[in-house]
Amino acid sequence: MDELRIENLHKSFGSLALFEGLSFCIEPSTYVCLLGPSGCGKTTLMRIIAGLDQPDSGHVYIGGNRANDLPSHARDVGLAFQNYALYPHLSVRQNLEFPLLAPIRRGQYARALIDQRVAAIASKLKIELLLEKAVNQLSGGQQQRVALGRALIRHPRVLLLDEPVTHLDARLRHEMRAELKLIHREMGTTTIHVTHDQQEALAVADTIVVIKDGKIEQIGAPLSLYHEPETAFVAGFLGDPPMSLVAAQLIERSGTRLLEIDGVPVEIPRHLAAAAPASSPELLLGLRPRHVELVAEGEAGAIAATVYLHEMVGRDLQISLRVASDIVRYRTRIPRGVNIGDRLHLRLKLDGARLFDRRTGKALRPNRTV
Amino acid sequence: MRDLDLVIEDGEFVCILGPSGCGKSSTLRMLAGLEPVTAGDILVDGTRINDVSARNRDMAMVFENYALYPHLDVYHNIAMPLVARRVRNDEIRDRVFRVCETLRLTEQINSRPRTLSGGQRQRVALGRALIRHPRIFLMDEPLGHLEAHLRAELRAEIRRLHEQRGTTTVYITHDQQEAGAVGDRIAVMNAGRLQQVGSLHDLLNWPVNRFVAQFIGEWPLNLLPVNLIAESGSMSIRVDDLAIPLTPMQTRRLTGAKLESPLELGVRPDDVEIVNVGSALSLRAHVAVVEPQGDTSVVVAETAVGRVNAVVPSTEAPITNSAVGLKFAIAQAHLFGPDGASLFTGLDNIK
Repeated sequence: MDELRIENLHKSFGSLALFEGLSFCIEPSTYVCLLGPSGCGKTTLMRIIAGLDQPDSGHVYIGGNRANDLPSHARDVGLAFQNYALYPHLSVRQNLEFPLLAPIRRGQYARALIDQRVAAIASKLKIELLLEKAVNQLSGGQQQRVALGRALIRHPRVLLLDEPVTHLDARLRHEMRAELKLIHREMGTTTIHVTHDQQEALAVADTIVVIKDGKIEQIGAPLSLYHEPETAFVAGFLGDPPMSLVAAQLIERSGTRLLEIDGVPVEIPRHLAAAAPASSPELLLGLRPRHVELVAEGEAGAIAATVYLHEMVGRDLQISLRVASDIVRYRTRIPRGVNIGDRLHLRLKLDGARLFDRRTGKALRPNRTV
Repeated sequence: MRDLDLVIEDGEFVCILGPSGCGKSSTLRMLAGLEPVTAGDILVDGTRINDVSARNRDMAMVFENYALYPHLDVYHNIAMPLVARRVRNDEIRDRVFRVCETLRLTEQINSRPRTLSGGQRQRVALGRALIRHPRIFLMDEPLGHLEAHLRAELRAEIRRLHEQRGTTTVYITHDQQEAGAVGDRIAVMNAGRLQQVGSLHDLLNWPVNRFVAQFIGEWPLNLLPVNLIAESGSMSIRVDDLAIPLTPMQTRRLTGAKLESPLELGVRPDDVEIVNVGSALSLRAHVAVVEPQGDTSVVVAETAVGRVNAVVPSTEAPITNSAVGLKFAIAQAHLFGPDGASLFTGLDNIK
């Protein structure tokens, strides 16, 4: 049985339709990231799951039960927000207990059970020694754990996290995202984590749902999205750097299919050539830096390019090159002097590159031999 | 802020980088004349300008929170500084059109700010500074609140304009990647003190102290508590029960130095190699988490001296919960004393 199922969801804001028949389902104990740029609908989707927003139509099932008509507090979900929303003047213990003592649940939890729950969650989150401290005395990372603890104290079926580490500094963000993964492994709670940060999503998720303009672009495991993006959007969004997308045209020369990039014919691996339908020769080529090398002018397959930007990324020099009206990123560890506007030549090695239909943005599917 | 000494060459693009509250914005405001200086001098081309009003300093400023005039279109927003200075109308028109072309705003020239995207609005704010030909540009987190892809696009634009015009620029940011993309040199500040000035490459390889080493780099630096063992002319670093011999250059650096504990070894995650458990010169570790990032993965490993991150090719990433050995590229490591100062840095033997 699915832990969470979204069926044919519709939601509009005034005349603006956000979701027009959104559906997906999540297996139990999965760590899911809803990933997309701001305004894509990921937060609205989370709020609908939580019961904080109502869909226009469609169904939300949590643990097999339709949740649409349940108020937020009656849904089997735990919530933790970006800004924690902890009670600053209460102690850690009082914050953790709060959901169990809320008026709506009066008498539902015996004192002994509450104490037992608090002790158990505090030990799992390693905040036992902080229980009697006021929340406003804690560091950002500690507050984060308390917020997680409060969301988990009722043992919800589904844990909802809205940008849980976004606003932390780099060091703490790295620490906390590892922590989230460890806590998930320990507790096994199905988790939905909303983020716009693709590196964070790749790092923590079992499954990533990429959303753009209220539509699902692709669902899958992090590395399958990275290596086999199904749309040009996913290709240009995931990875650091993401794939460079370059306009290419499918041509045929003496029976061989080639790609033409800015007027230069480039050989393509056979399985990709076969996948490209002759009916739509207007393509986009998706390239990682490893597909690009710099060569001397006049070498076979050399494509002229001008330097658009050069920057250090860690120990690598990244050069963004303009080819016609597109940008191709090249990386090297060997330092070299380069200026914006310099003319260079690049050559493409297309093993592992992706091809997309320029009109639909959909990936061309290589014919795999069965 | 105390004892800030910084010389910026003519035509140079210098970034001031640091965490929030480090004093980088105050520095810029003092340069602009918006904040009085308690003590010390600000010189431009050798002339002291402390007492010159902001208006007469001939500097143009770009802020993170651009204040565009909502009732004026792009043309008039950009033209404003020239109108205020009573420049001739035909010259204003020429310059506005040229700036709009550089910033790709020509199509929006008659639009009001509220109809523009965030990136376009920021370009208008930039245009309003660029329309002038000031002696110095001052930019305070001009891309701070934009989305990642817009930031990358606009920083290319800013760097390109600089390479074309060569106007001396001081640029504030808390993003080291951005600083490395736009600046010739980076001045790192912390708690009101200048820490180090250099290229991103220099700061990465020759940090003067732990703060700079921790602040610079794509991934957070690993810090390991270590001891130093000296015997018969050679030195080693002891990490838990592992002794790692230092390079001759590192040994020379430490010979005769006054060494107080505790010492910390700084190792970049891409200088940690995952080897079989029990391999020579490796530290025993337990793989807690593997975080794929694409071609590389971050391996979070627990050791007797705390958590260590390693960045390895995804094809070589170990399995979660397995026991592995961690091998440190000692020649590229940094050693910090109790005050945080670098005792040796990564590429000592090359510099």
